[in-house]
Amino acid sequence: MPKGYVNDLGAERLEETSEQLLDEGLKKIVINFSDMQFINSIGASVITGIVQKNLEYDGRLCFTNMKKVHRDVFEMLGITKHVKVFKEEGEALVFLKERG
Amino acid sequence: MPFMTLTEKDFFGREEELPNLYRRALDTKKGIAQNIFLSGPRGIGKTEILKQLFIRLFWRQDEIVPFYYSVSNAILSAADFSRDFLIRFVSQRLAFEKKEQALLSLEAVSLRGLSSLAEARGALWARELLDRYGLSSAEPIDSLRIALNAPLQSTLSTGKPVVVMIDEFQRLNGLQIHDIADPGLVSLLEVPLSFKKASHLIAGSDAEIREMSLSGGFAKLTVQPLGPEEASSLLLSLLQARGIAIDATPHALVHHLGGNPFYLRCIATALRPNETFGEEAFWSAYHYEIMNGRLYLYWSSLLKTFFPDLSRRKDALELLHKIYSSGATPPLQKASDDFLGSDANAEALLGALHHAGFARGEFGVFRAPEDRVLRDFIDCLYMKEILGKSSRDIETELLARLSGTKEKGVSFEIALPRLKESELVAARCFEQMGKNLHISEDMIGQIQMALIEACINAIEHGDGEDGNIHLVLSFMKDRVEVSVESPGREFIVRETGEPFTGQEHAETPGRGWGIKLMKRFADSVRFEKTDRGTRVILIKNIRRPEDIHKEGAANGE
Repeated sequence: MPKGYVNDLGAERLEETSEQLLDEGLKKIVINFSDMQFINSIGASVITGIVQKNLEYDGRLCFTNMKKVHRDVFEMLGITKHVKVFKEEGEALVFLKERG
Repeated sequence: MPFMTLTEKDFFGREEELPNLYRRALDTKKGIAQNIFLSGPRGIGKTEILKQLFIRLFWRQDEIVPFYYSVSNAILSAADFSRDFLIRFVSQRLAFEKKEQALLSLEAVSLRGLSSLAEARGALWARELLDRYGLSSAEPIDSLRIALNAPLQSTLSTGKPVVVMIDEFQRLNGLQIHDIADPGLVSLLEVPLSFKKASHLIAGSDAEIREMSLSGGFAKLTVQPLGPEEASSLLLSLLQARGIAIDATPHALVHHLGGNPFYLRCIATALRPNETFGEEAFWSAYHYEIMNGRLYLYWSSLLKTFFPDLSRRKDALELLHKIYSSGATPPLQKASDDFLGSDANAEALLGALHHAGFARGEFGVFRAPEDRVLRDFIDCLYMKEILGKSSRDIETELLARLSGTKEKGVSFEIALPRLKESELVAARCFEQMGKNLHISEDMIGQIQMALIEACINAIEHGDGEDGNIHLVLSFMKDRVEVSVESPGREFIVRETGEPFTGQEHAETPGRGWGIKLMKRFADSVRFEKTDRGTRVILIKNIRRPEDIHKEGAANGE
């Protein structure tokens, strides 16, 4: 769960966690953005990298609890085409459980 | 009630102060309550807070007796004061027992009449007190002592603690014995003030109370101005009560009034029903208030109280004008040479202006108060009384000056160090300002995105001796304008007017997106070369929540 200001440092922490999970064989990942207050272009770009990596691993990535402005940023960067977006984390968990 | 007061729904923005005072008042029964000095500029609402506290204590509980007393400037002699104080205390104390509202409004009751009332209610302590007072009437100081100690005596006799609220406390300084004012009389309060089961809450003129000869023991509580949202709500509620509907909240004027409830009430009263109210009507009402209305009467009568003599009043006005236009006291020698005659005269004037609240005094330097309305009042009075300008000329000049406020809206200037994550400070400042000015959360978020990118650009590209980036955040009626200026070399490609992205940024992921994000979330992005370096100007057209609501209502949504 990214927190506060997601700039290069914040996003890199998220990237490391995501890569670690993928390396451990966990392919279903939910990122809850409810605690993310701000993001900048570098942070958004690193998140693009996370999405690409996830695609390479054939993982399922869900984004939840996003503010409208942050969803707009991700849409602009073309990220939302490759992830499932849910309003609430619970909905994403149900989705991942049902889809196996 | 012993006074007129606002209904609860028209009492805005005191969600912290009033419960806090109520809690402290209830502490009186534990014997741990502190005496409190309620501080704040004139018109900020101290009196209304005291009255609301009285009402709460009177109606909502039975253990702490509230007593409200406002010192009148019509009562000069200590003998008259003590009689009035005692009668009001005993009336309110008897009223509290069985919540008899009629007793609170007793006006012309005699000591004998009150004594009979007390006897009829079995309040022997009150009868004895009144009898003792009657016997002391030849000695005004004894009478005063008995009156001021009455709350303490009633607590000792009945076991019910009293919260004594004294408004316009500074006027006690003017009490006279044999027609001579004796500021030392206030020291008779020392005994009741030290008694923890009859706590005192005092309010009035800050500067004067601070200089009164009381040994202390007061905790100071400062009443803050209303926030923009509360101020707007109060204005709308007052207008609604008068049956006045308005097109939009006059945010610039509300800001100009500085969250002062008294000023907001004056404006609400100055507007006449059955008119169309755009922003211009509000500014006209403001002009009327400054020149002729209640606001004018309030400040001009205060000036007359402190400077009854016309020539002294003119001197005071000239000195104030100098202080307000220069930002600080002119050196005494210069002021004396110019028009005041002697240093002593200048000092006496400054002291009186400070006491009256027309000037702030810090370490012997007197400055203009932050109150913009007071400054406008003094400017207009100066033009009228000293420069002899006509009302029409004054109006033209005032409105021309205020038009700057109207067109510019509200602007904030911030200098940020060129440090990593400084952009976050800018974003948070913007968020707070945007909320205060009723900009929607979504709109705030969009501008923050563009602002963050503009700041990062400025931090990365800026250099030179000035280590800061300079922000101007301007909030106008229909748009927000953000200017981010960085020092040092320019970073605009002349042919395109766009910033270049140098090799050093080519490998940083996401840096190419900064400009795109700015353009995505602002309606206009402009880059300019300035004397200092480079400036990015972001403009976002805004719709405030109330505009959206209004459109929805008009569409029947």
